[in-house]
Amino acid sequence: MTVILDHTIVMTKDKLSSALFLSYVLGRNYGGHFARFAPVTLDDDLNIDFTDIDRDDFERRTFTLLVTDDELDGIVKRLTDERVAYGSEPDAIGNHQLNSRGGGRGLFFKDPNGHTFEVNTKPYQLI
Amino acid sequence: MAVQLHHALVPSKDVETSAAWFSRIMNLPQEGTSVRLNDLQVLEFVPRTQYSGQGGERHFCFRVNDQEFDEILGRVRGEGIKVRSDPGGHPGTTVNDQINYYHNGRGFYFSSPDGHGYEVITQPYVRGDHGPNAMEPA
Repeated sequence: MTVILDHTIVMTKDKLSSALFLSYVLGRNYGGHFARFAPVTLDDDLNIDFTDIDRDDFERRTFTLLVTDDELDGIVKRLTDERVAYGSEPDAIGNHQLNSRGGGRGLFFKDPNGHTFEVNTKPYQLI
Repeated sequence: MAVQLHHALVPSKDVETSAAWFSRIMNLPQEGTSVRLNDLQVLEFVPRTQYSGQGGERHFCFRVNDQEFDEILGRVRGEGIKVRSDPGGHPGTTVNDQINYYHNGRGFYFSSPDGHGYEVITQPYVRGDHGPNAMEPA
């Protein structure tokens, strides 16, 4: 049996800032709104649907994304060029180091609304 | 070019219980405190206090085939959980124990014991050139 994650809703104070930021960092274009959401569509058809909530204590989320080596290089370049902090661990964002989880290369960064994104080139085993 | 989700976190009061419940309802393999959706994607159940901060309710939508849809719906109702045809936020939407027929498929919403809002659909949303009411049936 196979189940595909189709979409998940992520709260923000400013959905466009998160959608435009993530689209840019991942090297793709923002495709515009869907209903009240600002979606970022990944290549497995998952939509991360950013939406605004009128409070400050919305939950900050963490997502791990698998990318190719070329994409990781592009992500590092764009984060570096834009002076966006990244790091080898979720609690070390800012050390501007990569990790080698699963024998691949990976890093963590935060979006403008405080959500954490991890990118890695290998589907490392969860503990 | 391929950017794909590897895993997402689901805060839980009791990670073992939550992972086992989700594994049972969806008929998916449990791997420790994670549940594997497919070859690539994993949901990892984590303690609410560990990463989640405010412990809010999350929404995940899963796409399955028609047979899986029927089986999941049967298990959800078998646990006495009432489903709803629309997300809770829509005006006039209640726990109506109905499914919907949006986007040329079938779908329903239900809540986990941890309070997360899950959705199961058989067809991807038609996300093309739609206006502000794109969530409504075509």
